[in-house]
Amino acid sequence: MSAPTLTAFIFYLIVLMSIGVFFYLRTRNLSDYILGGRGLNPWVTALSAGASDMSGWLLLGLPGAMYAGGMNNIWIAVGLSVGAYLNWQFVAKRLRTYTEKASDAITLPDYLENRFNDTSRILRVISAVVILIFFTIYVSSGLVGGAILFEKTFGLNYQTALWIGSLVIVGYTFLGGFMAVSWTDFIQGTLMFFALLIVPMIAIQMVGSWDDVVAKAGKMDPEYLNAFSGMTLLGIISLMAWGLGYFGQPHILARFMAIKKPNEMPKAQVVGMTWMVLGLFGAIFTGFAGIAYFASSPLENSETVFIALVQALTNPWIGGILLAAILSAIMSTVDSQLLVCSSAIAEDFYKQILRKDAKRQELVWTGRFSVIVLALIATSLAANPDSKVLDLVAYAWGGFGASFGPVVILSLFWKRMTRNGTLVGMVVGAVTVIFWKNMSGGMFDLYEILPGFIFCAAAIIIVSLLGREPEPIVKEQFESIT
Amino acid sequence: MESASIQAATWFWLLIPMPLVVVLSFVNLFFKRGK
Repeated sequence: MSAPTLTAFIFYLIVLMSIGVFFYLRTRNLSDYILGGRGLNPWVTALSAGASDMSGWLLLGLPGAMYAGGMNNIWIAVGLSVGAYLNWQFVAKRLRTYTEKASDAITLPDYLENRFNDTSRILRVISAVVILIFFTIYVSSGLVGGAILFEKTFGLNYQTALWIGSLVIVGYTFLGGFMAVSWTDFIQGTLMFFALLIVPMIAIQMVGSWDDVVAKAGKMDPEYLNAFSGMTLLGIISLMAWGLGYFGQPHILARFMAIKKPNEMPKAQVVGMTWMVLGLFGAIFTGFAGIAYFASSPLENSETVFIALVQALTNPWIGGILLAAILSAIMSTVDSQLLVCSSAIAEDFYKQILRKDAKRQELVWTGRFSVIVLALIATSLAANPDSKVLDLVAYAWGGFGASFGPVVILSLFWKRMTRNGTLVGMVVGAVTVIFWKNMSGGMFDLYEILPGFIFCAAAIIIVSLLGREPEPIVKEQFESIT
Repeated sequence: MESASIQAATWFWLLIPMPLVVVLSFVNLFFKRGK
C-alpha cells in the first residue's frame, strides 16, 4: 500500500472514530443508543439506509459482473431499484408512525409484539433469535469479504486486516450507537456516491466517449450489449425478485423508524432513490467502461475492475480516498447489522424479558457490551473464512425478505391480520426459503425469495381468516394510524 | 433486425425503469407538499 493511500485511509478511520466519540457524549438512554432517539434528518436517513443496504456489492460485485458479462447483469439493479422504491413509497412512513404508536417500539421484534398485543412474547423471541443468528453470520461474512479484499489488493495479512477492520467498526459502534452508525453511513454513502460518479466518468473519457465504449465492447463481443444473453425468463424474474428482500431487512427498516418527522419521509425517499439509482448506474458504467478500457489486457479477477480503474486513472491521494469508498461500503453494512444484533439483545431480551426494571445507563451499557461480544463472535467466525457456518449467509437476504417482508407489509395495511397468522407466516416463509434453496432444476431454479414471499403472505392471510378476529384494542390502534 | 430490437430492449430496460422510480419519488414529494 502506497504512503498516500495509507495516509488517506488512516485519516478516514480517524474521522469515523471521532464521530463515535461525538455521539458517545450525547447518548442518554437505550432509545438513543439503538434508534438515535428518532432524531435522524431526511438526508442521513436516506443515505444511511442506502449505504447500509448496498455493501461491497455496489463497488465490487456489480461492476465485476458487468465487466465479465455485460448488459445481462442489469436485471438485479432494476429489481432492487423497484423494490427499494416500493419500500420507501408504501412502508417507510407508515412503519415510522405505527412503531411510535405501538408503545414506542424501537426494534422490529418490539413492533411485532406491540402491534398484535402478543402477551405470550413468542413473536418477539422468535424474530429476535432469527435476527441474532443471521445477522451475526452476515456481519462475519462482511468482515471476511473486507479482509480478503485488503489481503488481495494491498497485500495485507488476512488476520491483521480482519482484526483492524473489526476494531474500528466496533470502536465507533460501541461508543456512539445508532447515531454514530447512521452518520458514518452518511459519510460513507457520500463517498461511495462520488466514487461511483467520478470513476466511470474518467474511464469513459479515457476511452474517448460513451459511444466509443459501446462500440469497442460490441466489437469484442456483441453479447455484451444484449441484456437477454444467456438469460431465461425464470432467470430474469429471479434477478428482479431480489427487490422483494427490502420489505424484510431489519437494518434498513430501522432507518425508517428513526426519522425525526414522518412527514419528511418523501424528501428522504427522493434523496435515497436518487442516491441509489445514480450509484447503480455508476457501478454499471464502471464495469462496462472497464470492458473497453482493459480490452487489450483483461483483468484476471473481474471484481477488481473498480480498484484497477482507480489505480490506473487517478493519483495515489485521490485513489486512496476513492478506495476508502470500498471500505465504506463494507463497513456501513457491517456496523448497521451489528447494531441490530445488539438491539435484539439489549431491548428484546434484556430489557423486555430479563430485567424489566433496568436503569437507563444499565441498558445503554448492555447494548454496548453486546456490540463487543457479537463482534468477537463474528470476527472469530471470520478468522476461518472456510467455515461452513458462513454458508448460512446465502439464506439471509432471501430469508429475511420472505419471512419478515410480507409480515411487515400486511401488518401495516391489513387490520384483520392476527398474531397466529404472523407466526405461521414467518415460519412458512423461512421454511420455503430453506427447502427451495436445497432443491434444483425446473421451477426450483427460481430465486427462493419469490415462492417464500408468496407462501408466507398466503399463510398469514389463511391462518388469520381462520382464527378469531384481533382484539378491539389492536383494531383501534390500527385505525388510529393515518 | 432482430439484433436491433434486442439492443433497443436492452437500452429500454437499462434507461427507463430505474430513472422512472426517481421521477416517481419526485412526483410523490411534490404531491405530498401540495397536500
